[in-house]
Amino acid sequence: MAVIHIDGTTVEVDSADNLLQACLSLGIDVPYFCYHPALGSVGSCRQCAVKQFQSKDDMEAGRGRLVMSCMVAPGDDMYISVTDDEAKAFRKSMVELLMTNHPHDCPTCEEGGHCHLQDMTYMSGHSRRRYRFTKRTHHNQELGPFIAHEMNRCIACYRCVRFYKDYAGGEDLGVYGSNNRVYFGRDKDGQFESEFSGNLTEVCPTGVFTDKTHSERYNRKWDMQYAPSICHGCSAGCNISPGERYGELRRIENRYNGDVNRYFLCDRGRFGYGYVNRVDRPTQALERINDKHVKINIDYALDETIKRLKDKKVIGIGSPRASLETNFALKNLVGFDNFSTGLNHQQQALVNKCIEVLNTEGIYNPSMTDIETHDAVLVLGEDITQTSSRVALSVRQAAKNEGLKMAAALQTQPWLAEPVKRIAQDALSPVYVIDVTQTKLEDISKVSVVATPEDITKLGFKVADEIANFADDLAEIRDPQAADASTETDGMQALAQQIAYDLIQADKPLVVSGSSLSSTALIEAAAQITQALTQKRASIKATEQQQVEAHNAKVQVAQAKAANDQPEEDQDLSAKPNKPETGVNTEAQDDVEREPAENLELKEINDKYQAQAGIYLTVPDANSIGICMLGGQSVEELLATDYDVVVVAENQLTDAIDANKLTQLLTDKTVIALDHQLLDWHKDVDIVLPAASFAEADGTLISAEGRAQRFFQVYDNEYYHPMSSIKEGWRWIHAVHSSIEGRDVDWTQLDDVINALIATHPKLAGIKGAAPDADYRITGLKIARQPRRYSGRTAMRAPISVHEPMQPKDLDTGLTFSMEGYSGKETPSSMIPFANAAGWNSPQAWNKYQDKVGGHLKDGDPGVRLFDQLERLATRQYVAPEAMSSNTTDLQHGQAKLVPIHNIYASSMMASRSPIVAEQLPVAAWRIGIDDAKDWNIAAGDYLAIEIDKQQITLPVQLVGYLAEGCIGYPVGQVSIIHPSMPASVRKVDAPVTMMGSMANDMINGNDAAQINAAPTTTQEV
Amino acid sequence: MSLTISEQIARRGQGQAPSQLNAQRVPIYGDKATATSETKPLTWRLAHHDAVLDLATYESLKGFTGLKEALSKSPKDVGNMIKAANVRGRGGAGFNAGLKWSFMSPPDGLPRYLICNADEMEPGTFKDRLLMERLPFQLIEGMLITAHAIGATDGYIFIRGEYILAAERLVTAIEECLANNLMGDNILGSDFSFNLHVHTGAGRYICGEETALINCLEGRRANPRTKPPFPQISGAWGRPTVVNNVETLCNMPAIMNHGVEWYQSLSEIKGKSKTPGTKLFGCSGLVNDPGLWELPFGYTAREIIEDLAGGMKDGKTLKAWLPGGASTDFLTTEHLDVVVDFDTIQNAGSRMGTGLIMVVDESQDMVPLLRNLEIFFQRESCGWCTPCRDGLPWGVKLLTAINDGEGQVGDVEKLEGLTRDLWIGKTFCAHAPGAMEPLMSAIKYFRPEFDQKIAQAVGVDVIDAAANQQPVAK
Repeated sequence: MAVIHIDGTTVEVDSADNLLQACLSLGIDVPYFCYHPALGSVGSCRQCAVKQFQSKDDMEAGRGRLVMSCMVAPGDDMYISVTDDEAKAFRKSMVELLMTNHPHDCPTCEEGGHCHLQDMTYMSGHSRRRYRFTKRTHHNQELGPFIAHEMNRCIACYRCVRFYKDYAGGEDLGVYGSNNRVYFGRDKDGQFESEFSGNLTEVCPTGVFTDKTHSERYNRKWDMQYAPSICHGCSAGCNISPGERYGELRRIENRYNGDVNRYFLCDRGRFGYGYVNRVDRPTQALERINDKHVKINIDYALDETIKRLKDKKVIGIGSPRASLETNFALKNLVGFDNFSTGLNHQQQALVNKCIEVLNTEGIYNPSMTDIETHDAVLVLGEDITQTSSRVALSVRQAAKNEGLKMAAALQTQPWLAEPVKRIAQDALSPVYVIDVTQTKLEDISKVSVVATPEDITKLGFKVADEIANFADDLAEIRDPQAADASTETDGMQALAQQIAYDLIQADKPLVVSGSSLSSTALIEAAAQITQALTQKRASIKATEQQQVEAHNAKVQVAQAKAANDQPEEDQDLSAKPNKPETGVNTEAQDDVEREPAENLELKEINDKYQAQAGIYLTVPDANSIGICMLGGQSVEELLATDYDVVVVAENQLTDAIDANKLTQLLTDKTVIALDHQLLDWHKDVDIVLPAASFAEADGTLISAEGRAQRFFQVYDNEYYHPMSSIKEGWRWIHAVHSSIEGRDVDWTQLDDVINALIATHPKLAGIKGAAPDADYRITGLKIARQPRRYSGRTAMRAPISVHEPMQPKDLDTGLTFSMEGYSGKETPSSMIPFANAAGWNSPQAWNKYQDKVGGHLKDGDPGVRLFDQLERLATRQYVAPEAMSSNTTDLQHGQAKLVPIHNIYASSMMASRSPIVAEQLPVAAWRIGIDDAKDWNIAAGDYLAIEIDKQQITLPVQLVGYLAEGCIGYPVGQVSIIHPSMPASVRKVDAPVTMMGSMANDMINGNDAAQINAAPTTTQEV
Repeated sequence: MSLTISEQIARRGQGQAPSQLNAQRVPIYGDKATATSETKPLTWRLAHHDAVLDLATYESLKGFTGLKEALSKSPKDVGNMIKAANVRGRGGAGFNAGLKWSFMSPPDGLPRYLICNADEMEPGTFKDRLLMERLPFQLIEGMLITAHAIGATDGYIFIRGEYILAAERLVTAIEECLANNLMGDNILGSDFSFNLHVHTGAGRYICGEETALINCLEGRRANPRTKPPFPQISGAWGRPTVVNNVETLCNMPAIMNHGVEWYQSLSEIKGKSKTPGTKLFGCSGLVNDPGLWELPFGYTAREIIEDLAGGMKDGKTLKAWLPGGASTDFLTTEHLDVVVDFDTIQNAGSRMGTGLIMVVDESQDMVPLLRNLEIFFQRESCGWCTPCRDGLPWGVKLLTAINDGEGQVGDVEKLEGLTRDLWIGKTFCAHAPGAMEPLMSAIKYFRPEFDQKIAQAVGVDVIDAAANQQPVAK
């Protein structure tokens, strides 16, 4: 901490921060552009100038100099003025200069109203244009369906390239040209390759990069209604702020959570929301009459449903995509024993294995922000960039810790972005990526390896064994790379040794794995590594402690004796025990005299070396952990029981059971589906009840971290669509339930469901604390979902009726569907609908809600980490499965081994149901490594027919640089393969005539060339 | 794939003929009879040969004796000697080179770099070109001595791309040194090893800024870097690096040969300067004999312009002069008796810069002259920081408008505003402040020229500057 004086006020600030950060954290408005809490300082925009004085006298005499506050570390007794006239005039001048080329097109600019440039211009006081000459102009690029480009608005803050390249590891955005013609774009038109490109729309302080998905149906930030929400795209649990107008979701923006996503989302989460707005969504209940679905009204739908359920044996199938509340309502309706998680046996076993591991004594699972603090990472069999992208972004930051350490050794602060990068050069903390296919983390990995799922598991257990075999003294553990090369070890063993060595040497190691390879043994292997690490590291720390204590005791004895035995003139000896020419009495020295002189100094325990190793396990869906903690049978198990009626809530059942088998199983049964999408298998369903999507409902999800988080309803669908019967899943189910039991509806609000849930499921008790309940008020007010300036409310329904109804009431939460209500910094962290503060309309307004800039939200980050609260299971040892199938593809005998290949968009059912995303999905293709393709005599564009689980799938072949030897990759989400480990046969076939052959071929060839070129040298096969 | 220097040169076409400076005038080294290694340490060899381009000739003229002397001493002793000699950086900043070296991190067994800043692009400056084209071995020797002193393992001569002949000659000289154990491993049988490479720039003025130079050398955008950490701590590829100007490095051999006291006594000849050593001074513009001369510090501008450069051309009267390049403030006839030295020129309100004077005569109009200079500076801005990137073009547009008869009352005040905002400490590097120096001094001394044009444009007789003064925040 440092005590500094800002404009006459003495304050204490964190000396690890820069002065700008310190000022902002204190609530002092200093304008800035190039600084970003996640990207650090570079000093290019010169906007954050303040005056610094050498001393109080200098300040009183007005003798100071301007400094850029973002580049200055606060030092004790520093005198600063933000309000100094020269500083103010300079800041005003800088905005004036930026504006000389800015087109002043705010009225037609989509950034207007949440524009950092507007805010800073206003803050700096520049209001009159004195520049009378022409402006430089640029050509814009076509950057694909997600992001619009308008370079004329650019103020050259360099944030975009610093985020895209330095932070997110992207390569296809650059800065070109010099002087005032600097150009930020791609080398040519085309969609960004990075999975994090959407963040450019928020990182850019003005309207150069804007959200094109919003563009079609645009409105100002202040004209949207928001709610604090949670992304349903994967299990990461990122916090989002969806904006709505006219009953449509218009945009997803990041919602800050200092423990989870901080400032950034992935593109699936940001752009994959379009399924909420689909025109074919069921808005009214449907009943199947004569094999056709007809719309029925809500009362009739309830009556019909009740009629079909009453006195019947009813079972219920929940979903890992539905909220805990909806799942629980269904479980309650059908009886706890007649409920399924909606997962098949294998899917459920995988998630349960993750829960078991995370709930075991001695296991620590970090948050995404915490991941960034680890300095050695093993990614074992999970392509996180595609399955849980935001986690991959955190792992990228973890890799930078080596550079930060090097910078610290040169007294360079971590926020000095350019020097840190320069000092680090190519140095990275060790990251090992072991997967079935090449992944996008290759560029930061020390070693990237492709292997079959079985070999990855085997490797994992070997790493654990190697760790367990280490000595308990870090000094005795040798680098295997330095070992005698003549001793022959096989490739896998050598790799295991190297991984084990780096994980044990690191200050804070982390293992990342997950369920996407459908192997519980793999998850056990990851867990075993973590446990072995924690155990061994604890022993190492204990050894160190003993050594240090023994050493220090000796030194203290020697020092004490030396001090006593010394004549007067040598009294200073004890202060300098490392002087070799000590005149110490030899009798008093004992064994200390044989120690080298420098060992006479007291040693300290290395606090940075942590005993605890971390593990992060990704699971498939937003509420996978939640549904499995709620508990239920697997789908196969439940459907095998004797029942009459099955109620399915928000579940794509064909992801769990093969479509044909499902049809077979449901024949002669009454099926009632509750969903916000109309899915293929719904065509045979007797009644479809229109459920609310995440945008129209409140609920609780549990992320892969075990963080229970509440998402809140964004808008009331009925207000805009009076005919709509869309209701929260739990409301439908409870209404049916109450009627069947002939009692009044007793769950009138969400809290009632939560209370009932935790009463019967004590392990989930923590979810109640995920957000304040419905009674929450600030100074008697609910929290406004709409900004104060929200306009057009009275006219909004004019096309429907000239009579303006009352605003919808929100019974379930402390939020209100109105601009009237509380809006401001005191909002509880889990209930902030959108970021806004006086003078701050852009996403930079999050500064105002944080305990310190870039830190945590003021009253703690949203969510409750459930695994921290639960009673832990006893530590167990996981052992490698004895026999694992080692079969590989044998084209001659027509035998195939399939491995899943994930894609950020195509593998997400909901994202790929979003029309804009659906337009640009990759071509569905079998992936084959180039080496195998050569051996098998297969070329890109050839067609393979693969028969598995009684279905035949024909797709073209796409070659990839590296893929596990002997495996064929299948595109998850684009073909329905539920059990990839089942026996599969393969044969080469002619191109199907139905395909637009040549075009598809071109696309495949194009992709494949790019992939081969991108193949890096670090990838090797084991 | 990178090209060798020779390939690069071949692609650009034939090398140019050697420059013909001072062919009939006062030679660079002064009087042939008195030019010795002790009187004209930088250029005395040119009294014997028009250029010294082979090792044998260079060695016959005391070549590499300085290196041998240096190798007989410890690096620390060489460093201390240079520090004591007070070789002030000839790139323009005038910082004690030995002191600069002393900030290097201690050796750790990993690479350390010495970079020669040969990106001579300061308008009106052509001193390094001569040293490289005619005396390539002297620069190499200076670099070897420096590398020994700072423990550098590799060196780069970052040379302006247009200096094709100089690059060619340096490459040839380096090859000859390599063949004769003056470069590479265990130089002259010592345990000192050093490799030197020539890297040609693509012609960006900003590459003269040492950290932008390093970025450019690494293949990055030529943006200046954040300081601290300084290059001595984290320079090229993040490793400890020293960047010195060509002329600075060329001073080293003679100091090794003749010692610190001799070096400091050089400027005592004139008795007007405390800056030790000699320097290449020059003069260009409408003078009779434009050229370049090696002189000890202590010469006044009048002596350089009138005696050495032969005074103004027929019928021309001196109006103003730039002491050392386009990025220094104009001085006027009042300042002709100022000694051209770092401190004295600074006291007169300008900077010595590179020490090559450019003269402006009475017939030349300051407004288009400045416009020309400012076009250069705005083009050469790297585009990193706001004031430089967006301020310089505004300055150009204002000067153009004034010059084209489209000026408005208040334009000069806007220019003055720029000179305040684009000043040292407010911009990221010294580029924009350098651009402001001629502008602010021109307004200071020649304001009526601006006002007259504006008065004409707006159709009044006189501009009342005081009435249009914008309020200035102090």
